Amino acid sequence: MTTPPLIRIERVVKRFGDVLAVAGVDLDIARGELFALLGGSGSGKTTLLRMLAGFDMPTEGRIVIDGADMAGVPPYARPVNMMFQSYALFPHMSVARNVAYGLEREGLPRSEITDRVDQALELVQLGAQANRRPHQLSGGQRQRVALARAIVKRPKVLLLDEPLAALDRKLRERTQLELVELQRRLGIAFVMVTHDQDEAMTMATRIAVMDHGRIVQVGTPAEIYEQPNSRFVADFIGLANIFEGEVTARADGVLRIACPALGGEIHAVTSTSAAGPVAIVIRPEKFALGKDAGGLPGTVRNVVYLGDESVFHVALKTGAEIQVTRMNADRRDAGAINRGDAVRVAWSADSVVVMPR
Amino acid sequence: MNLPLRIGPQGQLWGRRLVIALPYVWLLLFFAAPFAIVAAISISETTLDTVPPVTPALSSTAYALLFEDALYPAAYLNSVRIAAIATAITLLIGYPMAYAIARAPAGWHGPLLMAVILPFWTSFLIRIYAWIGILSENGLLNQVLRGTGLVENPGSLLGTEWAIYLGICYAYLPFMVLPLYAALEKMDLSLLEAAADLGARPWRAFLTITLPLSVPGILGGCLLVFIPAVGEFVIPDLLGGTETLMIGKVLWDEFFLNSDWPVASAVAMLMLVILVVPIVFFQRARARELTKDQGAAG
Amino acid sequence: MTGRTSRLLLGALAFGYAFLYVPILSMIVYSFNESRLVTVWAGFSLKWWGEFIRNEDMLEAAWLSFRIAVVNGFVATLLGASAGFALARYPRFAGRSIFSGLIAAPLVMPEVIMGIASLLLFVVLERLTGWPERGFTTIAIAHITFSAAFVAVIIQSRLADFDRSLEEAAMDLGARPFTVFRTVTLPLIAPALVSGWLLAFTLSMDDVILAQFTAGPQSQTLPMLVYSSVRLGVSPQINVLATIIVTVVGSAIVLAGWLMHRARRQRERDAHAAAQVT
Repeated sequence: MTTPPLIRIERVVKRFGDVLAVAGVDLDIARGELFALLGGSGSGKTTLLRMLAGFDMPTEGRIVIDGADMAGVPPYARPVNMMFQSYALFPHMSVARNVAYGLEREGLPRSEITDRVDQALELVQLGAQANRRPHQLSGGQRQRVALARAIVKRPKVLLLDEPLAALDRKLRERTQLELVELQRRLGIAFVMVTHDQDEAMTMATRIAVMDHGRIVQVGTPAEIYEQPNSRFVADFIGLANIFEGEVTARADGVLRIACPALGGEIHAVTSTSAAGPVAIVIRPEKFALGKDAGGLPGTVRNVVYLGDESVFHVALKTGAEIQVTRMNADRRDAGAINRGDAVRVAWSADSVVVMPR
Repeated sequence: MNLPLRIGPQGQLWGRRLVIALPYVWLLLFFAAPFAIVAAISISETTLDTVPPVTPALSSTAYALLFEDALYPAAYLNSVRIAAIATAITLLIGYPMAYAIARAPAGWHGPLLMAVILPFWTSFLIRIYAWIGILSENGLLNQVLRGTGLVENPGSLLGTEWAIYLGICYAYLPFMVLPLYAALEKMDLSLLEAAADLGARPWRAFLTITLPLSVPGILGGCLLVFIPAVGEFVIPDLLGGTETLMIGKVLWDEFFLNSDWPVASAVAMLMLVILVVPIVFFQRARARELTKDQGAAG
Repeated sequence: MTGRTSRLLLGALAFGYAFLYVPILSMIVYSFNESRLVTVWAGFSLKWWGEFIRNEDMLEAAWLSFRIAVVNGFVATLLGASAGFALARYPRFAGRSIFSGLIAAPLVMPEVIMGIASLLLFVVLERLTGWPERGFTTIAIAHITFSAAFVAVIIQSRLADFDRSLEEAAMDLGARPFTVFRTVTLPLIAPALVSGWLLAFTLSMDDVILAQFTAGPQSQTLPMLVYSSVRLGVSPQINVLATIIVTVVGSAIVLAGWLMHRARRQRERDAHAAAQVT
């Protein structure tokens, strides 16, 4: 709290004609963070990133980077660099020339440029491809050239626009961890835009979930997942069972909630001071599922086998439908639960998230 | 339940042969063969009392004349020089236009391009004729110049090389703008954002990114203007002066005024030799462009 | 920054379009001039329009040019479309590189060269076979050779971005190659064929050099007539002709553009409506 934030976004609004792309965003990002802007298409996340880069100017509000107001500062004069979703590699230049481009604009001596280009290419393990043209590279290699080109200028912030969207799944998962590793080594702040919640959860130190041009929630991946502050966030991140209820009493940090879908009154251990009508969220892995144990009775309607885990769709006697996940820890599960089985479902008061409706 | 294709492949083969042979034979007969005849006549003897005024021979008289008489080398050099200058002027006018059209709001591209091409669909001859009225002694241009009071007694541009530059530039501008537009329009604009992001000011980004990437368009446009301009006849004839030598005009005069078929043919052959390099270059570039498009589509 | 750039670009556009259109407009204005001197304005008059309409030579030449241009349009479209199809669809056949050279060369070849070459061929042919007589036929052949190349380019580039899976789908549904061509390929390239025809027609209507070389002593096309009259000096009747050509061509193109625009808008509306329904 004592050091000023690296990036301060204050009441930023962006309109394109009649369209409100960003509808008032306040956000601080600290040095060394790997910050993810997460949202669906049209949520305003890319516009926000482009305003940080300077390609779009805020209609209202201001952006401060490292103490300097960015109003009227063109992209070429900002201490940030961007990795483009399309990579935007210059097709008429070799890999090395692409990486050198930004350094040449600074007017650095030739020898220093060569050294730093070599270092950057070494860092992304592309030293051998320095003289290739972008079209001679694989998708993963291109992604690394774009990365090298963006970090070689040692920006204060690296902006990443859907950095891994063009890669196939296996490569994407590996590259996620490599990017995190690189970010730790360089120590510069990364701000990335993604629509992929797994990517945000895997990589980011903090996540801002965006919807309709607003930030709905900011927090660490665990906070966002375990303590969603709205139905939207709960629904957007992971699987969520959402019910409606009514707070009837409150004592010692425990709420009593009338919830017909879960069979009457339930307890929730929570610090929220919600009262009256509320929404209740229970993540599917928080349910215990068994044939003989206690809990609410129901019937398995469907089982989706995913390898590492299975998702059970259970119709409760109360009429509600819930999803329950269970790890497939044993290869041969003696007590396997199948479609049509009668089961019982239980949960702890800890795992109940309460939010205003 | 497919029936065996009995006629299919066979019919397809014949269809394919027909599709290739029809234009191929036509072009060989009416485009390639004539050049063999031109070559043959260029080494024949001129005989003014026969019809046609040539007798077959194996003579180098016509070619010898082309090198002996200083008129011909001068005409060739002049044509190349005038065509090159006119091409450069056309590029200077056409590039900003093509750039502005390519960067205009998307809905405007079609109408703006149409407005560039529209004059091309009206008569070439008449468009050149229009410049006679503008450039002559009492023409529109001089009336405007006198009206401004800046120039008291402007001379006439008509009959000068400047009139030829103007005419070529005017007649061929669409051929310059279209390839330039095509090259500029398909450019990925995020490349310019990337350049700006890496610290390049707009002018620098233009020089290092846009300009190099539009080189195919520049080459295509310049060749489309330069090659026909070298052999241009109507423009120097109507707008240029009597002392302006261009090789197309020389060929015309040899043929129609002097009825010297061998010399006219030799002039044509030598012009072809001069133009063969740019023509092959043009054809290569076009073939590459098309295979690239197909590669992208397939 | 961007403001100055866009002002510069606007200036470039304004200059370019003024350069293109001021000469044409001045020609139209002077077609209504009273004076014989095309360059001096002496009051509004329809005098030259009257003379133009009574000019029989002009009408006769125009009729010849029109007939040649129509024949040229059809034959050049047939040949050019075949050539474009061959180049776009058959990556390998004997002599393909020569063939593609033969298509590209007429695009840039100076017309005086093509003119003299064609004439010499016709002279030799006539010597050997007694055919063709110089006039309509020879002009048409020269025009077809020249304009077929332009048609080929249009068709080739249309086919280059043609979605081949449409043809594969037709074949998969049981259509034989010729049926595929007739029911799928042809309708989809029809607009390109129409523009090819129009381009060939225009090139033929416009040409003076090839015609000058290949015409016989009896035949005179409209551009040949215009050329000989322009060489003798400016004539207000040419301004009248120019005004007619510009008006006809201009309104045809604007109309075509408007129709295309409307069709596209209709398609977009239909697509939008369809999206609403589902």
